[in-house]
Amino acid sequence: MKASITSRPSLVLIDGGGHRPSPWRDLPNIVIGRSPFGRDQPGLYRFAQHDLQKDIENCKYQPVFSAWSLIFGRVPPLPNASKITQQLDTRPLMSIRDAHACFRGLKRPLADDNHGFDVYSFITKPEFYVRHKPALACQGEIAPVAAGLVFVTHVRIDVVGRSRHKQEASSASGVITHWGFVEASPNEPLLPIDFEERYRKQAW
Amino acid sequence: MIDQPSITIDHGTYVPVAIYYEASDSVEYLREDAACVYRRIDETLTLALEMESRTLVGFRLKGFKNFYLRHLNQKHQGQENFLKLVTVLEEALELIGNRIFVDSNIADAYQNAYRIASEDQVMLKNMPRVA
Repeated sequence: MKASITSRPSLVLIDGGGHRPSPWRDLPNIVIGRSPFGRDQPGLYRFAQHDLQKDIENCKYQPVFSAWSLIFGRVPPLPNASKITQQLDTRPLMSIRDAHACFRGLKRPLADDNHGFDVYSFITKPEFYVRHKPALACQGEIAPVAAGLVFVTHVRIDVVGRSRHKQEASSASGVITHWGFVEASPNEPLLPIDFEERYRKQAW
Repeated sequence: MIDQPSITIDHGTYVPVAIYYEASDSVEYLREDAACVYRRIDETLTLALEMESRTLVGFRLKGFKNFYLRHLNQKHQGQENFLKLVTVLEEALELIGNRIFVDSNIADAYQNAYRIASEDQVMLKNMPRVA
């Protein structure tokens, strides 16, 4: 009897256990965009949540705020988010659905894809984004995007079980792998700098 | 004396750290948590610049798993459970070879990334899974 008492497992406090994550940390799994195979066709893109969780664990919050405001086109659901919405007034945030150009092929290895052939880059030209700003009232604010930049969202398209022919006029699915601002081309200010060398070809 | 349970806070403070991202197969090190501009240098290195001033705030090493498996895994085996990013940049420079002398922009970019990795003693602790 005595032995069973001493071998009883001890209770361990799990930090944060039982708490639901704050809504702004819990991004939707899917975003609807445009298909690289036809600008008027839809694309259903999954989010690489695992990588965003690494950012959150390291208190690197701007990538999450950028995803909300530049890919989903929404104000992150922060406490007092209405303060951010007020700053926006009636000006909308842009999402991946507002992409005006799409390029294929990263010309560099990405995991199993030696040349990044199946990675497509969607280009938007946002005016504003939500910047992470630690403050008591609200943790974010509307910030202008500096001049001469475009925003690029990279998607690795699912190709398993689909013929190239079928892809060409259909919707698409894939994983959003990464995103960021890049400098715009001096000659084509709506496209990324050196887009001719940077990507394999322009899809639309 | 009873230990006080820690309180979970919603926002912590960013301490610069190198992170490996599986989906993009890249390692990123940023000195600050801010939206930046990414300037592609070559297929391996991208510099991260502050949005307004365009000062260098970090860098991204791309195609990292491929690079790690081909060039670093063997050398790194049996060593510490972390990888110094200066080691990665040195290996990348070795592979670039002569190209570094042809394009001064590439040389400057690698030099600047190396300076940050060295000054901040940047180490990668979450290595890509090799199996």
